Amino acid sequence: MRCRKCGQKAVINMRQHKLALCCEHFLQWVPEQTERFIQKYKMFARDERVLLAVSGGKDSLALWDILLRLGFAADGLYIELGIDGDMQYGQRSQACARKFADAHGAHLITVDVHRKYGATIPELAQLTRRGKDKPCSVCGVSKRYIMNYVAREGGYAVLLTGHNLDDEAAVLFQNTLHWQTGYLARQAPVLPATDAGFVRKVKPLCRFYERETAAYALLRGIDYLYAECPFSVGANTIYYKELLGRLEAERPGSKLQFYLSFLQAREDGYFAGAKDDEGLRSCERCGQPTTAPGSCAFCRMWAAVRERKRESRGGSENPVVTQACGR
Amino acid sequence: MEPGKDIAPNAVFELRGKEYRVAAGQTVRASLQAVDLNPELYLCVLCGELVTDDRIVEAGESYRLVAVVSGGDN
Ligand code: SF4
Ligand SMILES: [Zn+2]
Ligand SMILES: [Zn+2]
Repeated sequence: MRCRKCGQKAVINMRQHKLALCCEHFLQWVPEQTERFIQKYKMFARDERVLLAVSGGKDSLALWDILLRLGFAADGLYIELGIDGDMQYGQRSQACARKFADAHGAHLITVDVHRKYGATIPELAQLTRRGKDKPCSVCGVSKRYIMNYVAREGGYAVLLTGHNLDDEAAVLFQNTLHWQTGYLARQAPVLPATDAGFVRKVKPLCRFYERETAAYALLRGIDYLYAECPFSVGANTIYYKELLGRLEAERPGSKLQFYLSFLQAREDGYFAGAKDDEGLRSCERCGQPTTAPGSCAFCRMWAAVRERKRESRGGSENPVVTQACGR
Repeated sequence: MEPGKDIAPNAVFELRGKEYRVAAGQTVRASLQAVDLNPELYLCVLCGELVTDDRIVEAGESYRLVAVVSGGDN
C-alpha cells in the first residue's frame, strides 16, 4: 500500500478515512488534525495555561508530544497510584512520564496518593465499600478529584486528558446500552468550566482511533508503558472495545460514525440534560464541587478509611490521614 | 502435532511472548484472522518497521504484534 501524499510505502492504513500514509506524512498528519480539532471544538487558546494528565501510556505521551510540537506550553500531571504488583506498574509508568518530561524539558507535577492522603489505591479499595473488588471505582474518583484540585490550585485554564475515539466509543456504547442519559449528556470533547469549581476538561485526541495514537507513539520512538494496569483485566471498557473492534473489522468506519453521530445528536439537543452547574455545591470539607449534600465522594471515601483504620487500631486516631485535602 | 505445524512454509507472529504460526502467501490481515486475532486491535512490526496489513506474508518472516487496546474503567 502506498502513501496517498507521496507514493512511498505506507506504514498505516486508516480504513475509516480511506487514507494510507507513510511514516513522514503520518507524523505530520496527526498534529495537523489535532490542531484542527482543538480549534473546531474550541478546546483552548494558545495563551491559556494547560495541564495534561499523563499516565505514562501511549495516548497521554503522544498528546504531550503533539502539543509541544504545536507550540503549546503544556505542563504534565502524573498521579502515583501505588499500584505495583509483580510488574511494578506504578514505578514503570512514572519512569516513562519522567523520562519524557526530562527529554523535552517539560514540567511534570507528581502527586503521590499514598504520601499525600495516606493510602495507595489498592489499600483504599480494600478499606472502602465502594472499592470492594473494584479498585477502578476508587481510582477513578481519586484521579478525577486530584486532577481538578491540581488544575485549580495551579491556576490552569484547562485540563486535558488523552482519551481517544475508542475510549469514547466504548463509554458511549456502555452508556447507551444502559440508557444512562445523564452520562450521555455529559460526554463531550469539551466540558466547560463550572462556577462551582470544575475546570474545563478537554480531549484533543477524541477523534483518533487507538491504533493511530499507538502508531504515533511507536513511530515517534516514545518510550511509553506498554504493560497494562493489573486491575484493567476484565474491565468493561476493554470488553466493549473488543466488541466494537469486531464491528469495525467488518464495517470500517462504524466506530467513527457511532461517535460522530452521537456528537451531532448531542449538539442537536437530544441529550440536553441538567445544566452543567445545576445541583452542584461546594464540599463542606474541601470546597471542591460536588452534587452530593455535605461532603464530596472523595472526602467521604477518606473519612471511611480513617474510620476503618481507627477501628483496626483500637480507637487511636490515624496520624497519617488527618484531612482529605491537605497539601 | 502443534496446530499449524503441518502448514509449510510458514511465518511467525509474536504477541506478548506468545507465538502464532501462520501460512505464508496470504496477507497479514488474512493471517491474523486465521489465528483469530482481530486486525483492528494490533499493529504489525516487521524488522523494526510498521507494515500495513495488505502485505503478503513471506516464509520465514517474524512479525511482532503490538496490541493497541488499553484502559481500565475510569
Ligand atoms: S485500570 Fe482501574 S485501577 Fe488501574 S489505573 Fe485504570 S482505573 Fe485505576
Ligand atoms: Zn508520504
Ligand atoms: Zn471534599
